[in-house]
Amino acid sequence: MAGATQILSGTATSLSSARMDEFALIRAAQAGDQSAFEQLVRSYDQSVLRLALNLLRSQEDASDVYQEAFLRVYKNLNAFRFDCSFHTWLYRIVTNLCLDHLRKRKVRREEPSVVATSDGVLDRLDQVTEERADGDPARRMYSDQLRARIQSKMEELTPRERMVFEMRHFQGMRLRAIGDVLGTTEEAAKNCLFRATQKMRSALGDFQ
Amino acid sequence: MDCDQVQQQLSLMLYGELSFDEEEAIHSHLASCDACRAALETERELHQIMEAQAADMEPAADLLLANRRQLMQSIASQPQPGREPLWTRIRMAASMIAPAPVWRTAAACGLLVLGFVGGRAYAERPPAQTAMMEGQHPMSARVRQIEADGSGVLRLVVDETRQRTVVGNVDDAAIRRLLISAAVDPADAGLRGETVEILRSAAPSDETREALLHAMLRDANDGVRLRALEGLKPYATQPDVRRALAEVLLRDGNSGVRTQAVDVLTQSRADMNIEIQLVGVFQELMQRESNDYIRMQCQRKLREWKASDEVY
Repeated sequence: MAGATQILSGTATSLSSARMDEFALIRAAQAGDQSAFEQLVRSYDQSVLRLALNLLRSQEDASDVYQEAFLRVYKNLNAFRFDCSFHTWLYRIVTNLCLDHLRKRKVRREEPSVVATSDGVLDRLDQVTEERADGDPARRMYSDQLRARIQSKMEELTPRERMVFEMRHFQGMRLRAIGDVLGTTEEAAKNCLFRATQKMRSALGDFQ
Repeated sequence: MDCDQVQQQLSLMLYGELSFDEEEAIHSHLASCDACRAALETERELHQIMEAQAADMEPAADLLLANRRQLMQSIASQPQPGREPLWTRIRMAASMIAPAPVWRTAAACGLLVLGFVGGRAYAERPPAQTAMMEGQHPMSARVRQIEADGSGVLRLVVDETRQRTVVGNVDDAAIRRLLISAAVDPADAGLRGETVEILRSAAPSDETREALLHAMLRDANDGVRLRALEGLKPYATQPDVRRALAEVLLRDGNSGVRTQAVDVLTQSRADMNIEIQLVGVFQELMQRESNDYIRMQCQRKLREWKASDEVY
């Protein structure tokens, strides 16, 4: 209606507000604003480090991936054209770097089972034995054995299966997003997860 | 659907990755199949174990901070990414056409003309409507409301976040308030860890103590909880801090944090009326604590208080 004031409610705009915040940050960082870039890093670096630690189980390798990933983002930010979300772009870089590490490690047959946490260097599996509500020794022994089986099966997964399994399980990412990150379809990511969970389930075979 | 098909899909169902119809078919089958229900329980157990593992794998705040610092140092030594600045590109192009003195003379004449024409144009320009000051671009903006009249003019109501620098020491009230809000920033464990570290050095105050208590009891990151606990040592004889430390002993999933809590509790001494409340906690720990050191400390303290350390 001519002359009438049209008010669009805040609800519709709020849906895109988070994206707008990020858009503004990326634009500012692209224009050379160092503090905007730092804020972008802070938005994502905890989950990047968690993913790398979970996948590589080595503080040194995870830190290498962190540094390399964000340096690549910094150097190539001007080439980022918003064709995909920043999260997808960043995770594409991180997962490629992690895959490289995992493939190299597969060749070297080197698989540290320990990881650095705020408690110092700990074995991932020992961490799980801290389920304190469960005081029954027989039950605890069962859980320990179960975890050892799961751990050995995790090492048998291919780097891609492990990547999909970790992103779905530890990062809580949907298969569609995992597919985007890995440059594949949701269906392919689903098949990969399916294979990974089948292998993991076999770890429970004797315990059923 | 037969049992094989159902059992192959159970994990994807727990991930919430099946369609409504697929999930419905599985539930119909489960209602009449004991074997598949047992398989579902096993699958759930696997998921729970992996989830428990995930919860423990939050990166240490120290590691996060060290990585951030290293990254910022690396970036500081990098050239600014992207293309050469516009001025550099113009100079490079110009130097290919004519020698520098010719261009200097031409540029001076050009500036004179530009100043004359620009000055006239500026005087005729209508005043700007925006309230935004030059050099104060927001860090982020959120459009709250858009109004459009028929003439094509838009009126946007925008919430903006701007960055400013606040300078002062940890005992300044304004700085402390900001630090306390940073100590609960859910998105940034590194920042929380750094903040708790600084608050530890602040002069004792109720609000600092409250912030440290909150971090010790509620923070998801093991490193932040540990630092907060260390920061509470000067308050260790206060009843509510001792109660909070007891809660950490009973509930915290990280053995390092619990070890620190038992040390602070056993190495400080409070009024006997308060200590008596710890007897029950230590006796409970004698039964359920899996860490030998913590059990030993509890036993030593119980004997000191002449309370029973029997495990029933």
